[in-house]
Formats: sequence, structure tokens, C-alpha cells
Amino acid sequence: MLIGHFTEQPWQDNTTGLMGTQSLDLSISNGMYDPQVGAQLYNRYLDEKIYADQIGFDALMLNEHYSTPFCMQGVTNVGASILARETKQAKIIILGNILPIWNDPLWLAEQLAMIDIISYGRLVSGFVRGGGRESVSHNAPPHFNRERFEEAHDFIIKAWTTPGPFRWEGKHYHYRYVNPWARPLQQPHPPIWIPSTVSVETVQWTARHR
Amino acid sequence: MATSSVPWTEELVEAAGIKLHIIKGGTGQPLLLLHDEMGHPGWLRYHAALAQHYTLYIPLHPGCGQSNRLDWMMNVRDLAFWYLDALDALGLVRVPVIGGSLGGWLAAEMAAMCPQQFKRLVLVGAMGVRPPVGDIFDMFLVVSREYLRASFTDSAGTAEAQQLYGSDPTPEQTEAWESVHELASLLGWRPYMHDPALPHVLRRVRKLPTLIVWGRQDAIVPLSAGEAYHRAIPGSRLVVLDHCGHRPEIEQADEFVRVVHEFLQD
Repeated sequence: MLIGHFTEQPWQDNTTGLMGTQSLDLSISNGMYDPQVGAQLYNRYLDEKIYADQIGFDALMLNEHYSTPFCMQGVTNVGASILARETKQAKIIILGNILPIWNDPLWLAEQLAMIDIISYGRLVSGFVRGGGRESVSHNAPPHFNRERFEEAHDFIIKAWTTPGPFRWEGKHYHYRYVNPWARPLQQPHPPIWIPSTVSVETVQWTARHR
Repeated sequence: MATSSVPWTEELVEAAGIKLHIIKGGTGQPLLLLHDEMGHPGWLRYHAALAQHYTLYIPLHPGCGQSNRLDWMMNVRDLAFWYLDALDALGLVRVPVIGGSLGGWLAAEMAAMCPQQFKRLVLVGAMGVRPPVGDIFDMFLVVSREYLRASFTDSAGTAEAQQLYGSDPTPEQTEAWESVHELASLLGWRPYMHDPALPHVLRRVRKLPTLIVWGRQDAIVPLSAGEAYHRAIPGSRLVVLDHCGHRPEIEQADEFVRVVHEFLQD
């Protein structure tokens, strides 16, 4: 049994009436975003996570979505980085980074390695394919979503586990010099979770990688 | 315009390494039609009219209909290279070509690569060039129905548009659209439906007689893109049709056929 603390970190703002229930609407302008409200909410959600760590939750769970009051956290690695330093014992579970939108997964590999090191090995690195709004917001080619997911995953594992420098000439990612200085603390690498709710193919892929 | 039905056939042919699904119909010299981002919609009035003078060749692009995919294809230039080889295999050399919208972009790419492959080039509301004024309508932010509504200036008043798209799409239609949208996404996701280099390589098309047809009210690819094509291809002719959106072959079918036939006869 693992008990984790999770919230979508919804936007909550009495002035505009946006309370985080609008999950699909692409027409909500960020002209309605109030950074003062954002400052309070971000800090409140971080305080909640830090408190959850203090009172004994096994895990602090984070995710990200784009362009929506449904989920304020557009960059889950920022939240995870702060918690890596500010909390002491709970696992930090990212559910997860959206691999197909990353054009430079080496950057992601090193960010995650830093989070793992700074937290003294408490990172659980989730990877997801993302939904339509993620492809739209970051203009990631949807027709290559699965190929990019799989290739970025394989690349990150190799970047974490294989001493560099090495080359990577893939279909979607190309590096002539892979040698990130930071390597994860957990060996051979942080645990990887694949949250999946709708894709049979992803479940099968995940089973093959157990 | 005569609308008597002309028989058409379909077949799967081996072409440049894959099975290609091709619709054929009419009598006379070959005329190649490259379909757009909504796929081949069936045998329409303009097909029937042109088929009285030409044998129409309408290949369903790789991944559409029963045509195989090209797994290695990453962009429109890859597709254009493949198509040139496929046209050789089909014996379509020095053939006149009509390309609409996404098919127009493809035709322009192929014509720039290999002008001698074609006899004449007709671009209809072609994607591929970034409009100097306005943007190419984003088909991936709306459902097909809304895209089709934007494709006509008066879809309610266009009988053939109503027949094709007036009611809820059939499962077959939806499936066909999914296939061709996947191709459209691969070719045009970013930059959206254009290639910044294209206007600069289009100079090679100057030796190929070129007709550019545009609906004045085109809300998918603004007329400014047609004017940009016209400037980029020295010697080309631009014909702008009034009361016409993105699908002149349907919305102004009579005038479209007249202009195209006249140009092909020239």
C-alpha cells in the first residue's frame, strides 16, 4: 500500500468564477489570469505538499496540463524541484512528464537526474503521451506521438544508465554528444511509472518494459 | 456543363514500392488530380465534366483508401519525391496535373522538383505558401464539419456541398477523413501547411504553363497566398472566382471546369 497526496492544482478565483472545473475549453484566454492569485495558489499547493510530507504521506504526486485553469501546473518539474529540496521523506512521483512534446529529451533527462539527486533518491519518474491539448499547446506532431514517446523513453534510460559520451541517431531525436554530467542517484535509474487510462497499446508497451 | 455520368473504375496498382489505390475514369489524354486534406469525395460534377475530355487519374495518397503508407515519409518533399517515381511507374509523364489545397501544395512541390514531369499545372486554393495577409485556417482546432462549413462561402446554397456534407458524416466518410487528416497532420503540422522555402524554389516552374485558381472568399487559404504563388511562378496566370470559397470545383463547378478546360486546351 502506498498513500500519496495528489491534486490537479486547479485555479480558484472568485473574481472570474474560474474554479478549475473547465478542463477541455480551449477558448479560455489567459488574459483572465491574475498573477497575484497565482502566487497565493502555487504557494498554498506547495505548503500542502510539504505538510503532507511532514504528517507521513508516502508520496507527493504531481502532474501537468497546459493552457487550462483545470491544472495550474504547466511545468511539473518546477514543483518537483522545489519539493526535492523542501521535503524530507516522501517519494516525489511525477505523473508524468509528457515525452512527445519534448524536442530535447536530454534536457529532461538531466532535469530529472537533478531532482533525483537533490531529493536523495526520492524521484519516481512517470512518463505519459499527453492529450490533444498538450499536442496543440506545444505544437507537438500528433502523428508521431507514440514514436516520439517510445524513442524519448529509450533515449532517457540510456542517458541515465550508459556512461557517455555516446551518439544517438534516432528517427526523431539526434545527438552527436550525449554526456550529461548529472546522473541519477537511484540505480540503475529512478523507477518509471506509466499512468495510462485509455490506451491498450500503452498498457501492452508498458508490460513489455516491466 | 454536361453532367452525364461517365463510368469510372478503381484499382490497386504497384507503384514505387507500395500498393496505390487509384480511381480512373473518362476518355482522352490523361489528367492527374491530386486530392486535398478531405480526401477524394467521390465522383463529382466537375469530374464528370472533365472526364468527357480527359482520362482522369485520381490516386489516393499513401495511407488513404487502400493505398499503403510510406513509413519513412516525414514531410511533403518526401511525398513529392515518392510521387514522381510513382508517376513514372504509372506512365504519367508530361501529364497535366490539378492539385487542390493540400494536393495543390504537393503538385507545386513536384513541379518545382521536376517541371518536365508535367505538361501543365493547375493549382486550386493551394496550401504550401504562407499567406502574406491572413493565416491558413487551422483544421486541427475544429471538427470536420466546421472545417467544411468554412470551406464554402455558401455551402447551404451549393447543392453538391449539401449532398456531400449536408448531413452527419457516414462511418465510411469519418474513417476516410481520419486517414487523410493523419496524412495532413504529418505533412503540415508545423510550420502549419506551408514550407517557407517553397516560394523560392517555385521559380523552376516558370517553364511550365501554370494556372492558379482561387475563390475570392477562400476562408481556408486566403487569396493573398494565391497572389504569392502568382508572383513566385513567373508567367503563371491567376484566375479569381467570385462568390467562391475554398472549393471552387464544387462551389463554382461550371466556371471552374470552363476555366480549367480552356487552359488545358490552350
